Amino acid sequence: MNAGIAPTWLIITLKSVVFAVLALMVIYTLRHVLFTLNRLFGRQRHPYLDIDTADWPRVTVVVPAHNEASVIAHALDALADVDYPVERYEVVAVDDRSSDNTWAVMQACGERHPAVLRLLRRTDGQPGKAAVLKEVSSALDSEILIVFDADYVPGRGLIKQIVAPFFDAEIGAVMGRVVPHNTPSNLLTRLLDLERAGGYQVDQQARMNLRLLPQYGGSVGGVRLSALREVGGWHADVYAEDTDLTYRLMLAGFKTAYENRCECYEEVPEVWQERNRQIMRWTKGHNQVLLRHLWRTLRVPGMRAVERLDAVLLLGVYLLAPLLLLGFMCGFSLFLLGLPVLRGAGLVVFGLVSFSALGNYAAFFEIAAALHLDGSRRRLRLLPLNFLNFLVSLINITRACVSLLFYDTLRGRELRWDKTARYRAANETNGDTP
Amino acid sequence: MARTERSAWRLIERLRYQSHSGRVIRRHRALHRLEFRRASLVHPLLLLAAAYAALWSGADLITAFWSWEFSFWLPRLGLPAALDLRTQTLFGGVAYRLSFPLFEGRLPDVDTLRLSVAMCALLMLLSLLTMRGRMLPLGYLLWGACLVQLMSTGAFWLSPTAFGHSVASHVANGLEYALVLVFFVPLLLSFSFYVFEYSLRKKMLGTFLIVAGIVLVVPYQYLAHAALIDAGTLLVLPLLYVLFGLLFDIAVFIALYAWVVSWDS
Repeated sequence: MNAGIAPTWLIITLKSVVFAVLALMVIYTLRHVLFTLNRLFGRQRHPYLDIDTADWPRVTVVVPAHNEASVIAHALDALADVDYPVERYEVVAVDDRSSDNTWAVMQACGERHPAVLRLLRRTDGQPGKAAVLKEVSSALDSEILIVFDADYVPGRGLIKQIVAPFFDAEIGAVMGRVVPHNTPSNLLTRLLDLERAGGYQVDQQARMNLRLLPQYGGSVGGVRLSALREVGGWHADVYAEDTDLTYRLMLAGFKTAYENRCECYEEVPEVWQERNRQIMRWTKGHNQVLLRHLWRTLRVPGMRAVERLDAVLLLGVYLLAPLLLLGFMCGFSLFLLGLPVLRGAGLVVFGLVSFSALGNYAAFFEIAAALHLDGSRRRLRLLPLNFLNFLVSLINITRACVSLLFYDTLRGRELRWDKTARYRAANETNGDTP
Repeated sequence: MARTERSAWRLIERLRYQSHSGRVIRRHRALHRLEFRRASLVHPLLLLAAAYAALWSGADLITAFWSWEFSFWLPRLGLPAALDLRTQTLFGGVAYRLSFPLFEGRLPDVDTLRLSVAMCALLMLLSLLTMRGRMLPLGYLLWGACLVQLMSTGAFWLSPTAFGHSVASHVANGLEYALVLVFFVPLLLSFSFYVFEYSLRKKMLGTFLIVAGIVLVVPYQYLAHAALIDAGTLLVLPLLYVLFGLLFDIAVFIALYAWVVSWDS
């Protein structure tokens, strides 16, 4: 087709969209390059790693559970066996209206570990993890609250590693590294393993190194209860209470610390439908946080410019997919009109940065760096297949954005438990975790 | 004196990290990072200079190879054998001659457009019904391809004679983009491969294999495009452009890159 059949304003609009999307993608790609080089060669900040002997504060570990019968025993047994002064440590496991035998499994664990394990059962009130955390944390007298998902299996030293940064008064939250342990299951789990490696080993640690904003992920992490109360406690009306808390702490002047050595092992989704649900939930939660905190993030005093820029870019990551799709549609429309807006180097850059900036945001070179650091570079041979993950993420993140805008927000959909399925058999031992 | 001190320091450093087997005590992966050595900077600079010098002088050889491939295969595939020649410059300085098949391709008639819509609808329905579970990403891919094809069909329906692309322009542009991608390879590798602890020889070999892989694939890719458009109509050109054009070349780059960086250092 030629330009004659399309009005000039339309052509200018389409071209502007393509260039704007390209500029945005280039910014995100350069950010990933910076993170990668910093993680490879920069000064690594592990400021709290050597603390082993101290006057340890009182800690409560909360494990919210909803239909977790197959996995929760492993988590509770491991949490009861950690290296932490028992008189200053308790685990609160909360069964939130499970319909399987989670409560019975929890009771059996309670009998095995009566000194540290406290069991609660919720049958009414608002459902969901954030609601559980809100209810439990309001009644605690500990200094530190640590949150674990029911499928996470901590090592013995993990609690001390998570608590150590809190000796620094400006630390409001601490996040550890999540490592999938069901990686060999199938292609999807292997691809998610690549993505997690890039995200934690490179992205999060680089943010820590550069004193930017490591993200508190809601599990394998802790929060200072006084800081939590100062910023208004848990918000039960968001999909991503962890990201919401990261930004509220930041806006109140607290820092989030990332502890790369503080590893915990989780199950990643083993079927694509489950992965879709997970990434859609993350997208909605993250974009809710964007809407709530963008303006304040831009204006809050006392932040370095680079820190503010990273905080804003982090808020925007789940908008990249719909924007990229929009840019692609505009570019393709121009191609059909016989007016390809990007040629030669411009088009190649667009292709490369699109491939780099997505796939839940671990660029291909970032994954390569992460696996080199992990010492398991043979896994890199799956990298080309990460395109499938990229494609599924692209579509489902876009679906979630549309759903959040037109369904959840306008029609006021109520939040509910929307949890990830578990694949571990209940009778498996937890001794074979990596 | 300074050299002796440096040698002594290196020896102490080596002993400090030496394990009982005489090998290096490994740090935990969480704490590991790469040492910034002279090679961390010298290798990327050296390889960038060498790669661009080679590409600068070899761009014409690459396109000459593609031209030879077209001359050889076009008559054997029963396609019009005539080649057009265009002299171009890349990045304002690299001159090269680009040969590409000189034929336009047929416009689709109304029956072809109807068939295209019917095929897309059928494939979308089939993928919806059958491509679940492990096949879901392929189902998405098929849906994407069908949507692109439906958009193209709509464009041809609206203005069938005004399509601004031909086989010749499509192949010429595709070859140009592939050549640009080849020129981007050393730059991409400078921060994603040359910085790792490989020997200079492995880095050179890796660069060569990646560039050679793309250069070898491209003529066959566009020969396949030409054959498909000739067998069908220009209606398939947009789909080939979107899914099997530059995107495919980038996928080839990623695959070769992944293989190269998985080597032992």
